[in-house]
Amino acid sequence: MELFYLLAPLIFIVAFSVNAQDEGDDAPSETTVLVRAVRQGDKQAFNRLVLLYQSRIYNLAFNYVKNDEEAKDLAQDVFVTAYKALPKLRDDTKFGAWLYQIGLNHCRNRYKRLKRRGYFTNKSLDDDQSSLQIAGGETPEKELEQQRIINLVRDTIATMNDAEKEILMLRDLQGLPYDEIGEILGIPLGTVKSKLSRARTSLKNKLKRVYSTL
Amino acid sequence: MNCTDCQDQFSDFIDDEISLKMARSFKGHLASCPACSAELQLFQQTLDTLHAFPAQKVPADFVIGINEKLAPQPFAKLQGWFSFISQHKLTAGSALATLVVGVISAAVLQLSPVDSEQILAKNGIGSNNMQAMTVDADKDHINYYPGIPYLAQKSQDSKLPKPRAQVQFTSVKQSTPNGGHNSLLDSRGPPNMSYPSAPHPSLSHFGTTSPDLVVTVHSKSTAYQHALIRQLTANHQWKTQINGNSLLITLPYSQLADFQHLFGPVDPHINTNELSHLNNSSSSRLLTVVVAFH
Repeated sequence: MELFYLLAPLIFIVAFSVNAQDEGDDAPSETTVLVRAVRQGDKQAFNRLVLLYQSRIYNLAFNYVKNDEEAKDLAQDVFVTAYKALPKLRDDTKFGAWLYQIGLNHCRNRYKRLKRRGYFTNKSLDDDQSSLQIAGGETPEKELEQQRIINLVRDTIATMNDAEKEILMLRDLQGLPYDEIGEILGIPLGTVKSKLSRARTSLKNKLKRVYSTL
Repeated sequence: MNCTDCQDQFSDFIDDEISLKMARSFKGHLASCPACSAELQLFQQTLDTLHAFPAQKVPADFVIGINEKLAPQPFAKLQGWFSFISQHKLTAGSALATLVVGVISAAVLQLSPVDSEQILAKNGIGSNNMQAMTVDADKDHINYYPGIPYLAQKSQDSKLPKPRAQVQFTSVKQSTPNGGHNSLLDSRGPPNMSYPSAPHPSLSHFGTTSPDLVVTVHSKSTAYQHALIRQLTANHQWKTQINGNSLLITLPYSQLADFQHLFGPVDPHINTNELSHLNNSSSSRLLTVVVAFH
């Protein structure tokens, strides 16, 4: 009996936490609620969805095309496509992964088009507008050096193939979990790990060669 | 564990996706291999650089831009059509096709044949009573546009005569000392040409019987005739009257050369010296010219 009194609080805590977890799993996320509202014609809900995802999609686009204006236009096109194609989305809970898929498709197409036009070969490092957004607090020399390294890494990533580039962006620049990356790219978890390992090693080796020539 | 196996585990190790057993073996190899330790350090630095990438701020008008793109746009169908063309690279092909069609159409229009000899025979050119000079005003298609002397002269050398009209210039002297005939042609003209002092039949329409010059234009091309009429009536200093197929023009003597230019190359030219008696009589003497179209 004494044992029961000792264990009762523990049992209560475990039961409560399990219950709370169940409730959390059942409750639709904010994204899912908004997606359902958009399906019912709520345009404000779509604007709210844009606000939730705009930073991720805009940064994905920026890392691909490395230009503010192009990234803005590209990311806007992603949302426009998503809005028009929303009725075709089968699972409302997969909106995030689905949006990233649209985003990656747009990025690939835009990147190819710009590359064909010689957009990237004509672009100097001085054009890279990310330098305007380096956090302050460092000395100008350090900021400049940090910017130089970032530009170097960006240019090195640009030389990688699409599959390596994308998995690096999703994991190391966007910080997405493995399972979501697997959903976006349509590959199993083990493949995500092995592809990511190869892409990271490839980048390290490329940078090693670049640094050795500096 | 060898070096290759060890370095294959870098990514999983950093993301904490490695099993306990593998971690033990991995750490054991690192402790005994400075090369792999150095590689791991470089691997970690690479990822640290990626993670330090600054997040780009989304432009303030981002959402507005999306809504603008979603708003229905006028001429959306037209834009869609143009975008279809640009996407399928039809621009160059379409332009080329249009150019080819245009060139062929122009060639067909310009090469429409006119049998000059038939026209000459039909109009009795070469007879003594009315012949002044007969020229192929349109030996080349360039002469299709009257009043462009340089191009017209150039066309005279063309090896591909495509006559569109024949022009006759006939001068009529007011008082004829040699029996009603006057040669107003210069030395390049055919010999023994003579001109009647009798009134030209075309003048009866205008109520006058004494023109200074009669120009007869033989052309089957109405386009040529219309173009010529437009040129003749464009000069506001010239008084023009149209009646049927004839045009009565009163112009200053000093503008005879301009008038002649409108007909393109005329060889032999009107010998203006022969008309000098008109000019001498009065500085403001006006020429009366009848242009008859046949």
